Amino acid sequence: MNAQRHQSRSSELVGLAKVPARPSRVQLAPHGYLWIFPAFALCVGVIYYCVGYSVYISTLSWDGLSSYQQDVGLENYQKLFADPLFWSSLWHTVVFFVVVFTLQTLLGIVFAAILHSKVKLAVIYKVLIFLPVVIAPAIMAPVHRNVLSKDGALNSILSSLGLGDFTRSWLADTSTSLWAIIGVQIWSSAGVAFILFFAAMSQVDLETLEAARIDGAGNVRTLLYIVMPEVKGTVIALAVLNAMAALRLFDFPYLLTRGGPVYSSEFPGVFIYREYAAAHAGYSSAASVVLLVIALGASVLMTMRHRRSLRAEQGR
Amino acid sequence: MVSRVSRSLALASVFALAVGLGACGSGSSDEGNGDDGVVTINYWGFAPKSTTADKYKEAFEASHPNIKVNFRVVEITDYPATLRPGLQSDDGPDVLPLAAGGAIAGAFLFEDAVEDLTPLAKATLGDDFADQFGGGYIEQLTVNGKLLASPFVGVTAQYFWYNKDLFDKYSLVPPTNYDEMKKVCDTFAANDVQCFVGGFGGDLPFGGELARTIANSIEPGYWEDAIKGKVSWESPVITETVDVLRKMQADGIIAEDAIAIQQYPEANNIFQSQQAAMIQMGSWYAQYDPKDVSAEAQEAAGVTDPQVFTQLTMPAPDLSGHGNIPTTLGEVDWGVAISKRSQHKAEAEEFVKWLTMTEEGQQFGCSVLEGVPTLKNVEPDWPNLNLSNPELQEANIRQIIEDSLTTTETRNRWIGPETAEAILQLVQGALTTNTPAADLAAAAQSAAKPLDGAADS
Repeated sequence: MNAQRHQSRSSELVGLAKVPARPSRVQLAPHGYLWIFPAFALCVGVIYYCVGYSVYISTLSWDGLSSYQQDVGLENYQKLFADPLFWSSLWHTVVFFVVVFTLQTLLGIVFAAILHSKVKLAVIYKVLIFLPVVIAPAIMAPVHRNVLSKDGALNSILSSLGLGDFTRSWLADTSTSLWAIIGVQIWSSAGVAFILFFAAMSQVDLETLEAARIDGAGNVRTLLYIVMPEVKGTVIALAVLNAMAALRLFDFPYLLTRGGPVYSSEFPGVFIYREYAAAHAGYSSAASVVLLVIALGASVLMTMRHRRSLRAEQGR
Repeated sequence: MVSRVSRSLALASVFALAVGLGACGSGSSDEGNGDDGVVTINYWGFAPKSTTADKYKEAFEASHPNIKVNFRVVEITDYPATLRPGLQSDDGPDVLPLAAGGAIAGAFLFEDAVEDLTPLAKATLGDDFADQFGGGYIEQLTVNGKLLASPFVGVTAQYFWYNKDLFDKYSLVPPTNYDEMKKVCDTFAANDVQCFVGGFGGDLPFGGELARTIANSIEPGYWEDAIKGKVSWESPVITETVDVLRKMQADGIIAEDAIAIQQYPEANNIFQSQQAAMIQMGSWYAQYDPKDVSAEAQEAAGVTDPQVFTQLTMPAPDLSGHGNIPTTLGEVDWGVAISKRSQHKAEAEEFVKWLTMTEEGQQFGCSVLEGVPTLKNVEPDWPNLNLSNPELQEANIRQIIEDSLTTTETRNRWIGPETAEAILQLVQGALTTNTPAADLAAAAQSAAKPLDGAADS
C-alpha cells in the first residue's frame, strides 16, 4: 500500500515535470511590461534611489548634516573591514540566527504537532502562542528588562528552584546579555514559526498519515519521516525569514542593552545607528551597504539551495 | 486601442514616479500658515519635558496670539538621529534646543544647520549682549564666531541628591568620604533601602559623571584635561578611578545591575519612589522639588499614594580618600536655536527672543526649576515655587545658583561623540568585566578624540 502511494506520488511529480514550460519573457512583451511599469517605476524611483544614495554616501566623509562632504573613495569600507566591533556584531548575528532559527523551528513544529492532535481549548493555546508576535517590542522591552533584572522574575524562579547560584543581572553581564536577547527574540517570534508549521501540516495528506499509523509508526516516527519532509519548504522559508530578521535586528538589542555592556550584544543594526548618531554618516552607510550585500547573498544562497534540493527531489 | 491604453499607462507611470520622487524631495511647506493668520512653529527637543512644555506654550501663546508652538518631545538618546534628517527637511523643527557640548546635542554638531543668532541678540540686547548673560554661556554656544543657540538655562553638576526624610529616619548624615558612604549604605541595606542608585546603561553619560567625581577626588581637573587631550587617559588617575568604581560595586554601593538600567526612567523612578536614598544628578533635578511635580514623578514611578519628601543636594564625597572634595561642574545646559530650513524664521525669532532674552521667559524657565537662569539678575519666582520643603529647598536652590557662578570646570563642553563613547566603555568595562584597569585606560586613550581647539582652551 505504501509502495503504491509512493509510486503514485512519484508519478504526480513526474507529471508536474511534464507540465509545459512557462512562456518565455519575450512572449509577455511588449504591452505586458506597461502594466507593471507604474509599480516598477515607483520601486526604482523610491527604493533603489535610496539604496544608490546610500552607496554614494558611503564614499564620503560626512557628518550627515553639514555642507562639507569629502570624497574618500573606499576608505570607509577599508576602515569597516578593519573594525573589530563590526565583525563582532556580525558574529553575534550568526550566533543569533543559528540559535533562534533552531529553537524557533523546534518549538514551532512541536506546538503545531501538538495542536494538530485533539487538544482541548486548542484555540486558546493558539492565541497564547501567537500573542507575543503581535505585541510591539517597544511595549515589551520594559517588561523584559524587569524580568531579566537582578530582582526580576527569572531570578526569583531560579532561586525558588534551588538554582540561586545561577542568578545574575542578565542584561548587565557581558556573558549573558546576548543570550538574554536571543531568549527574548525566541519568545516573541516562536508564534510565527508555529503558524507557518501549523498551516504546512494542514497540507499533509491524511491518507499518508493513516498509512503510517497502520504501518505501526509512532508519533515521533510519523513526525520525523512523514510530516517533516512535507514541511521542508516551510523550514527553508523560515530560515530565509530568520536570516533577514537577524541581519536587520535592531529593536530588542537597542531597547534592552543598547548593544552593551561593552558591545557584548552589539548587532549591525545598532552599530549603524550608533555611528549615524555619532555624526559618521559615511561610515554608517558603508556598514549598511555591506549589510545589504550580505543579506542579498544569504537570500540568494538559500533560495538556490532550496531550488537545488527541490530539483533533486523531483529527479528522484 | 492597445496603444492608447499603453500611452495612458505610460503617462500615469511618469506621473506616479514624479509624485513619488516629489515626496522624497524638498518641497516648500506652508503647513504653519493658518487661514486665521496664526502661524505654527515646530519645536523638537529633549527638553523641556512634556508637562513643562505645555506651561511654556501657554505662557508664550498668551502674549503672542498670532503664533502657536507645536512641541515635540524627543527622547534624549534618539535626539541626534531624529534631528539630522529633521534639519534637512522643510517639515523639521523651526526651533530646537542645543547644548554646550556632548555627543547628543552639542551645538558644534549642528553648526551648518542652524542660524547665527548674533544679529538677533544684538538687536534685542545691544552690542554688549554677551555681558548680560552669565559667565561663559555665550562663548560656550558660539562656534566659529557664530552664536548657534541663545542660552536658556545653565547647569551645575556633580551633586549627590539625597532623600533627607530617609536619612533622618535612620539618623544618618550625608557622607563626606568613602568610609562614611559605606557605613551609610550598610545602614540602608540593613533596612532594605537602596543606598545609591545610578543608571549607567544606555548612551547617557551618568556612569562617566560618577567616574569623573572619583577622578576629581584623586586629582582635581585631571579628567577634564584628559577630555581636552592635554593629558593621557592611560594614567594612574584613571586606573585608580576604575579600581574605586569596582570597589564601590563590590561593597554594594553601586548596584550589581547598574549597567542594566538607565538613569531615565529607571534610576530616577527608584529615587523618586523613595526606594533609594541617593542619586547623582545636576541642578536640573531641582525641578522635582515642587510638591506637585514630585507627586507626578512618584505616580509615574508607580507610587499609588505619593508622599511629600525633601530632596536636597550634598557635595560629592571624597570617594578615593585623597582628601579632595570634587568640585562642581558648570556650563550652559541648553540654549535655543533656529533651523536654517525654517519657513517661519520671524516667528521662530520671536519665540527664541521671548524665551531666552526677556526676563519673563527666563524667569519662567527658572521658576519651573529647569535649571539655573542664564540671563543675569533673573531669579526664580520664589514665593510661588510650591516647594516640598520651602525652608530647606529654597536655600538649596540659592546655593546651586551661587555654585553656577563660581564653578570653573565645564561639564560636556569639550566632549565629542568619540570621547563620550570612550568614557561609556571605560565605565562599562570597569563594572562588567575583569579587564585590567590599565587595559581599559589604554582603550579609552585610543578611542577618545579631543575636539578641535580643546587643548588650547
